[in-house]
Amino acid sequence: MSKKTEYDVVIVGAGISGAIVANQLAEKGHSVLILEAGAKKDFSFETYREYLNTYYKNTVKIPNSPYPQNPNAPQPLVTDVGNIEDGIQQFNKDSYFKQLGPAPFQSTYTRAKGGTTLHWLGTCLRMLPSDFKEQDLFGIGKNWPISYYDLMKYYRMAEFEIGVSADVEEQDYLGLAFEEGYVFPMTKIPQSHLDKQLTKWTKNAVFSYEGETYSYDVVSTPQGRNSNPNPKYDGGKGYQPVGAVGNPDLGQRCEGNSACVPICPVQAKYNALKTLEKAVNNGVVINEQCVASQILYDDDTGDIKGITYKQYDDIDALTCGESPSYKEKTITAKRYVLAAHAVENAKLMLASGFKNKNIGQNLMDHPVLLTWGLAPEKIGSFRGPGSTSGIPSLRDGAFRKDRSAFRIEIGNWGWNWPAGSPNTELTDGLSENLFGKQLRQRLLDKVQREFRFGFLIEQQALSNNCVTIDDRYKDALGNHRPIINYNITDHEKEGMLAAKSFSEQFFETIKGENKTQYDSSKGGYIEYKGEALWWQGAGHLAGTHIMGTTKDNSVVDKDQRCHEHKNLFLVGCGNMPSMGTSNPTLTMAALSFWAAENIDKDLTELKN
Amino acid sequence: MSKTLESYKKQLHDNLQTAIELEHSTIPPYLAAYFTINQDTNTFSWNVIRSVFMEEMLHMTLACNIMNAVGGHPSIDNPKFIPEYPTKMEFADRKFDVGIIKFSKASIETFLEIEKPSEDKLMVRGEYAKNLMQPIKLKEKTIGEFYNTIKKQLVYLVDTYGEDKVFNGDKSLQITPKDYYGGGGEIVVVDNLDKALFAIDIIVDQGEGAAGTIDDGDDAYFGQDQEVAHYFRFNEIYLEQQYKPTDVPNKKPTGEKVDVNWDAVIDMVNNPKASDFPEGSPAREKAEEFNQLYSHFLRALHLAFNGQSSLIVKAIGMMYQMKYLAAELLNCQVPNSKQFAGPPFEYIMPEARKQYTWLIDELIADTKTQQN
Repeated sequence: MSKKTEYDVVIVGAGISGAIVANQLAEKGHSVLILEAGAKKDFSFETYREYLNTYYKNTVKIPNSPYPQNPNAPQPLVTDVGNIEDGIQQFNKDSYFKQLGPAPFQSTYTRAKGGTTLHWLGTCLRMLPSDFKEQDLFGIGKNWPISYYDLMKYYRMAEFEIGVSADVEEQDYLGLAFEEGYVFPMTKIPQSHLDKQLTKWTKNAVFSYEGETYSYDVVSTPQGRNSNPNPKYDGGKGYQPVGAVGNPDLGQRCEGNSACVPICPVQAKYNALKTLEKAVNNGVVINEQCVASQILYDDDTGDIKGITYKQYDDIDALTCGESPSYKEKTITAKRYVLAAHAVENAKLMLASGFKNKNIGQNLMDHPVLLTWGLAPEKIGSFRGPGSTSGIPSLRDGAFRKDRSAFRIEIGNWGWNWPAGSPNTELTDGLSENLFGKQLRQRLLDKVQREFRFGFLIEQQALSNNCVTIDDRYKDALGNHRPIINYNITDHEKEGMLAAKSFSEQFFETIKGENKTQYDSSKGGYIEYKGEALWWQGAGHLAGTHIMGTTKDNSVVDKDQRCHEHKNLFLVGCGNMPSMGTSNPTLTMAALSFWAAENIDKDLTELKN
Repeated sequence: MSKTLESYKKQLHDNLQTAIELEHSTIPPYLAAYFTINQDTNTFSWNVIRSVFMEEMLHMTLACNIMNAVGGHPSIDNPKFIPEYPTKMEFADRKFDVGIIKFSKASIETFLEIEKPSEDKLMVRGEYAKNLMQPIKLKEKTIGEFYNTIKKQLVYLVDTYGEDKVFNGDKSLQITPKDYYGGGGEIVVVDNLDKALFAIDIIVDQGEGAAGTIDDGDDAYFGQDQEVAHYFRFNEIYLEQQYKPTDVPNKKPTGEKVDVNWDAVIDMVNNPKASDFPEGSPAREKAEEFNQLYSHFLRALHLAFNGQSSLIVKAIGMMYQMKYLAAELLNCQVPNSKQFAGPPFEYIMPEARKQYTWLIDELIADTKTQQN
């Protein structure tokens, strides 16, 4: 490619991180190109509706159900993890991941323009200040090279970009600090009737565990979905909610469609298409159907010399499995950014022969222990967003040296996650020969009392949990499939035991019925100290190219720049040395703003 | 002096009440067309009709804000509020039936009659009208001209009596963006002449096009992409061709062809009435249920536009419920016929509203919370 059209920056990946970096740099006047692996999609609402229709027609409503599998850029699915047969975890044969265990890795992501924000729930919790230095405080995991206070400004930028709804006066727990006078862009999403009833039923009660007591405080969760703008935002300037891409009047407020995961029908929930559309209006170019396959670098200096990618032809869903046709191209730029996802970034660097030994290591997720039961009375399940509140009291404490912290998510959609309700309730009723009014009544009586907890267990960054590659495992385009090594530690299992105990005490306190029952044949089932436990993935993949102080303990420095490749920046959850108990998207977005600022400084110096 | 002002105000209020009724009366016919087509087989038309009735809801709310700003009170929950379909719509130069009929060439022709743009230049500040019109029948040739009459009245009254005397309504009655959103543009809080004229401009431009163009002004008003006004959007369906931004009102569109499937339409009976369907039939049951819900809905709107603005959220919930009921009705074949039932939009007197009484309980509960 000729010099005169060389871009200032080439970014791999059009998800939330790539979108933020692209838009920020374009606003500063830099020329930016994004390479996106996913299928070609325009910004019209009609195109988005194709996703909706795919979701409606799909009988299995998993997180990736609206987003078709693409042989040129395959994605993992939650259904890839099969049952445990004769003590051996089974995996679907055509899974994208090659899993080596010993524990199943149960989380997924989406390889399409907009990335996994297309199917995220929208939870926007900041990490706790203590989460940034847990090695110092508790002797576990890894410290960050920056603190919560360094990140505050960028959290605010992320909360603006995503459009977070929360009431700040409820969020200052466990050391979380906000600037004097700060308010979120929008007021909190109304808490569900369930949340309110649980608050009432647990008033003055406490949870006791290993000699300590913890409150049952139900706190509304900050969310990236539109609610009423807060007139006090930005010193009284207020905030304008951002509606659907291609249909701006739609999605001005959350409508309670109760389909956030896998797809908000009106885009009241943020997705990265909103930022991408802005970026394109600011001059960013997105080359779609371009899968990066190799990063070229100078062995002596480490400088990146270009990115090779495979641009594939349009695919018809019906031709899946056939060998695709593509053109291989190489592109150069002044600066490079990998924003392809924690697993994809690591895979790409490994495939390019990068020498840093930390690449691929420290893979993290939040194993989610699920418990479920019936409330003593109808609590109006299946209304509103998937979760509107949580119980934060076990997110931090001295106990973290002995067992994992966890955040408790209160699920609004009955037993949908653990037991497939309400569909399963219907088949149960039918198998009891119920029909008509009787069937309806049974469904109403039962389903309306259902709720579940999700305990998001903190996981430490460990070298054994890792992404690797092997030339024997490749996809249709000849790119590597990720190989996953993954396990759960006793520290984390201790956290799960505490979570299970919490749930048991909770159901007693509210005089509900604990219906939690774990099936030993289901993936994620384990026994620990004689207790049955069952956990699922949270979709919070992080830590495959963590930031730190030297190339020996990390891949990127605190500026998000590779230690060994000075013109290459990495963004995304892969940079996080710990996640605490926060869903990582908000922190990732904040880090992306921070990275963009550093890239801008770097480019400005270069140009002068 | 005050007497004259009062009598003028009374006439102004009557005109604004007509405006509110007029805006509302277009919605059931538009909904009937919308409900009888499918988003997948008539994507373009489905989107056009949806965008139009969303904007009609904005217009109705804007008219209520103007009414409240000038000290009047919108009256929504009364038998005269809903016309009996088919109703006659009468302008200075034409008279036609407006009914609840399925999507068809004929229904789009009616919509074109309703939204017909003015041939004259509107927006005349400083002139005023002494001839005030009777409700229902419009002396003007178009809705835009009717609103122009209201504009002239407002300007005259402000020039004669001063802005404070004319815009003396209770400010707390205004609907604000906090309660109204996502419906065809942003609501304008009206507390002076300029805001009232601006609100009317939005109504007229979205309907007929801004100042002799096909453009609806949304790009200028709300920073959205360019869009053509209602009349021209309906014309795009009718002629199966889109306008180009450079096209002009009195010429045919020259843009891309539009796919309109006139046959993929649910064959709904014309102007369905609950009493048309045999007692005990599902069609009868659902039609009555629809009417009950619709009447409660008008109650909720009435309360919302008279001081309890947060009840709009309740009304939104009812709209969704009405949408589901309409879908059920369009699934009910009329006994001894090949046609299907549809939403009747008939008014039920408050004392006869036996279904959905819990909705009323909720409204009363909300009323109490707000008073406390």
